[in-house]
Amino acid sequence: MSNWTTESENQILQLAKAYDVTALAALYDRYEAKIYSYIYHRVGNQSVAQDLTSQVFLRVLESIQLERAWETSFSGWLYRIAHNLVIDYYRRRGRTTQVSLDDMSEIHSKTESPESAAERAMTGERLRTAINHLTEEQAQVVTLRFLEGLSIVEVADSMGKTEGAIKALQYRAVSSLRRIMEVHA
Amino acid sequence: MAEIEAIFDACLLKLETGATIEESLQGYAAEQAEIAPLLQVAAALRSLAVPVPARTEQTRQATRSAFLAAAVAVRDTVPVPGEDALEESLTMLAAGASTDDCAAAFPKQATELRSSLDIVQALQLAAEPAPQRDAAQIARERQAFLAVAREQAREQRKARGLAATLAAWSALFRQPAWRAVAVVFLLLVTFFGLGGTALTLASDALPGDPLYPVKLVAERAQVAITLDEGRRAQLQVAIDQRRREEAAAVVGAGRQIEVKFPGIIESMVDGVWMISGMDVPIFVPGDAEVVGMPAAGRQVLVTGYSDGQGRLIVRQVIVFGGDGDGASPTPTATLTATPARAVAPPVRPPDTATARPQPTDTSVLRPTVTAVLSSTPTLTATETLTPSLTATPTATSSGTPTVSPTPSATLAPYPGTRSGLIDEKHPNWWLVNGFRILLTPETLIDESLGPADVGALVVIEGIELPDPPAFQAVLITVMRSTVETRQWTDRIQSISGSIWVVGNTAVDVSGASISGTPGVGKVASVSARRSADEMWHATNVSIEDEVEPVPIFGTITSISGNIWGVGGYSVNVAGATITGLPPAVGLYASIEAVEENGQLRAITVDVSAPFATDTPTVTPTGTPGAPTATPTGTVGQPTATPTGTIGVPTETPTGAPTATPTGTPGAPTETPTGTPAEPTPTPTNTPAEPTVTPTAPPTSTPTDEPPIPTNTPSNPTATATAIPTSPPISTPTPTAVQPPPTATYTPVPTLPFTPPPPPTFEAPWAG
Repeated sequence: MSNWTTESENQILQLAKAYDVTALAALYDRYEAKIYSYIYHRVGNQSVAQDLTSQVFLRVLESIQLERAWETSFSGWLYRIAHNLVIDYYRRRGRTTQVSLDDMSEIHSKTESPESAAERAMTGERLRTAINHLTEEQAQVVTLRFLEGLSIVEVADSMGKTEGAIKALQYRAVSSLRRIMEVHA
Repeated sequence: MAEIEAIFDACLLKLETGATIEESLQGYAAEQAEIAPLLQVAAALRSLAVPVPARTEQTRQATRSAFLAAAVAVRDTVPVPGEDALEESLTMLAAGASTDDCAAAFPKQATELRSSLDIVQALQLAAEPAPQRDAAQIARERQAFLAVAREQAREQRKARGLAATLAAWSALFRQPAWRAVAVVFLLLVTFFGLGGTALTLASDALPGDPLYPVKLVAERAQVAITLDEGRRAQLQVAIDQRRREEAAAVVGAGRQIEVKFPGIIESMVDGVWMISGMDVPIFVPGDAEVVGMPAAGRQVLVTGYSDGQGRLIVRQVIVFGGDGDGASPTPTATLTATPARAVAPPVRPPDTATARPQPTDTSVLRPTVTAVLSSTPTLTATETLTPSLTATPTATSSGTPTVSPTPSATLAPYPGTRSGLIDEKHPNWWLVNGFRILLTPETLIDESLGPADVGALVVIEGIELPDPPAFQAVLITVMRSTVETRQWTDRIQSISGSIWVVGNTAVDVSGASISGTPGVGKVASVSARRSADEMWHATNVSIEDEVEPVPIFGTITSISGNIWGVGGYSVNVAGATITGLPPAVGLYASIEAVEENGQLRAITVDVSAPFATDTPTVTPTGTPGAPTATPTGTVGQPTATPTGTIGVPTETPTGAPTATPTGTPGAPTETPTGTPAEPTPTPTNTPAEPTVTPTAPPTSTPTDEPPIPTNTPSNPTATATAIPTSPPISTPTPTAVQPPPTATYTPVPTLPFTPPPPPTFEAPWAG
């Protein structure tokens, strides 16, 4: 059943704020895979994605009781935490665009030549680096829309914004990406 | 003026039927001069009203095409917003169009669009589904998250408990510093809820500080998310060192507080131990509980307190290591009766340090634990403590500590604590929270709070073995057993997948047997069990069918125990919430009831005084077509005398009334002679009441004509009450009729009571 509604989620969130484990488990089950996928697409590394996903949910535990932890959208808040952790990760790692062998092994598929896989990996890495130069919301929209494959409606729902706002963010994000890629090229 | 208009109108009519102007004006000689010119204008206008020539379809299509072409031209001059062009192009691409197609569709943005679409396509090319993760890993991550959540919940509860006992603390610790701490603590609990902000503030907290529990939680969380064994070991070493520093700090500060820290015994002289380089002596009194064999170089977990005078007094020491270390397939020894911490007598230091040689690390005080297999799988440990001083005592000068080399903390095994749910149990190892825990014959299991079954929540004190990484349990304490059951009934607040919030409890219904149709707002009876993961799992959910309460209003005609007669109904008020006046016959009752097994059971009852202007009793049921009840009293006859039970029918005519006066009647002419003194036959139905006209002919109709009211009663009271004798089965259709108002008929709406339509009937005497 996927009968989550804003109202029902609010009920769950109220209980989760009091550390009701059932409610927290429900939220975890609903969002963990999405956040993992989001982070994976931002960092391109499975183990890093797993670590950062764990950290996202620990941040949730730390902050869920704060009054303004999330204002309108819980999932938007999760993506915001995830984005910040990704940015921290890249900051710690340094602004390198090397593709590690581990990354390569994850990316490489059996039907793809090593050269093609390497090229694609480099492109992906350059794009991820470029995404990190976007604003938080632009980066979220680009990732959800083009890397996650969500529709405008779904992105709007995830980020707690209107479809019009997502379209505008999408446009500005792609325009910015274009400029960033041109500069880096 | 109105007349001339009417004449003009009549003339126009004639004109339109073909008459001439003159003919039209016949009979209106006086107005002819004025109207004739107007008719001439009208006739002229009429001559213009020729039929519209028909167009060919071709012409119409041509005009349509021209319009649409113009529209396209206008559209092309209006620039499409970039975000719309991009989004529409993306839709086109998804449908199979090419970038060129998109550029052609939006020529003004073609250049920009091509570039943007290239970026998007590169993104989409680089995107691929996140690789599948190992299910076990996902489960471990989830368990780790929930373990920290439980930890947080416990700390939260503990914090609340601390707040509640703060007054007691204040009484215990009179120092000004403690009062300051108490104030800070209250402020933090109040304003920060010990949340994330508090985590930062907690980093320097010491035992007894309000944020110290938060610091511990943060550390546990840090350990929980560190998957790398080496890094986790380093982290644990750092945390252990922090515990020792904190203990020394509170002793130095003169606080009175309990402390707990791990370490390595460096020396034991005259009941004074030195542990892991701590610069405070640790006093081990004779009544301290010592579990294991203490010796220099041994790992210990010390629980004690700072006495406020610069001393650290030990209450309990758990010693790790010694004989018997290492995994063994021997069945686990389980303490079933004796608390685990009481298994070994304390080591009593010599009374005088000068007289006796002090055993050094070569001394062996060996408790042996013999596991005896009982008839049940649970093992009962019978302890035979055989202290045997096998070492040659070293005669040392009194007071001189015997210092043993301190092992390297990073390489040697070190004590640690784990907690979590038991995933699996094997003879010599358990899986707890995804981690393998080694058990030895000496491992003690405290099951005083419940059996250590799979699913139980346990805290394990033991030894971290670095190479290969493993955790060897010394003491396992069951914190929560597997099952806690609960039953409750409440409204379903929300349904989110398999998680329902019933009342204020979230419960997972995925494995439950559910009867009834779920729905938010419905009442559900839940039987659930909570396993050690602290989640409620419903086993049975029964959803009550919604029973719409039925409103019943009327005068209480009888009270027989819990059975009241109200508005012609027999209502069981047992268990109902009764408000208002003490119930008595003659008072007015407003009841919400449900029908159960053919009987009306009241939920709420409000008893009030009868209305001054008694509204006709409204009972929510009845068969309007053939009511069997008729108004009481001969309403048409103003001499009918209400007997004081206002609104209470005193007799039940068998005929059906035929009309329900709904208007405010005029004044009746006659005054009833009985009580009340006010005129009685005054229909006082308010306009909101439905007018119901039974279609069956009355079987007994008052023959008197309705009185012609000559004055207005100020307080009409008499009311006829229809008392249906059978349950309602249909909704009456109000019909307006003009019947002889021979009786005041109480409208009988159906169950449930629905707002009546506006009255359509007016009493003939109404003004």
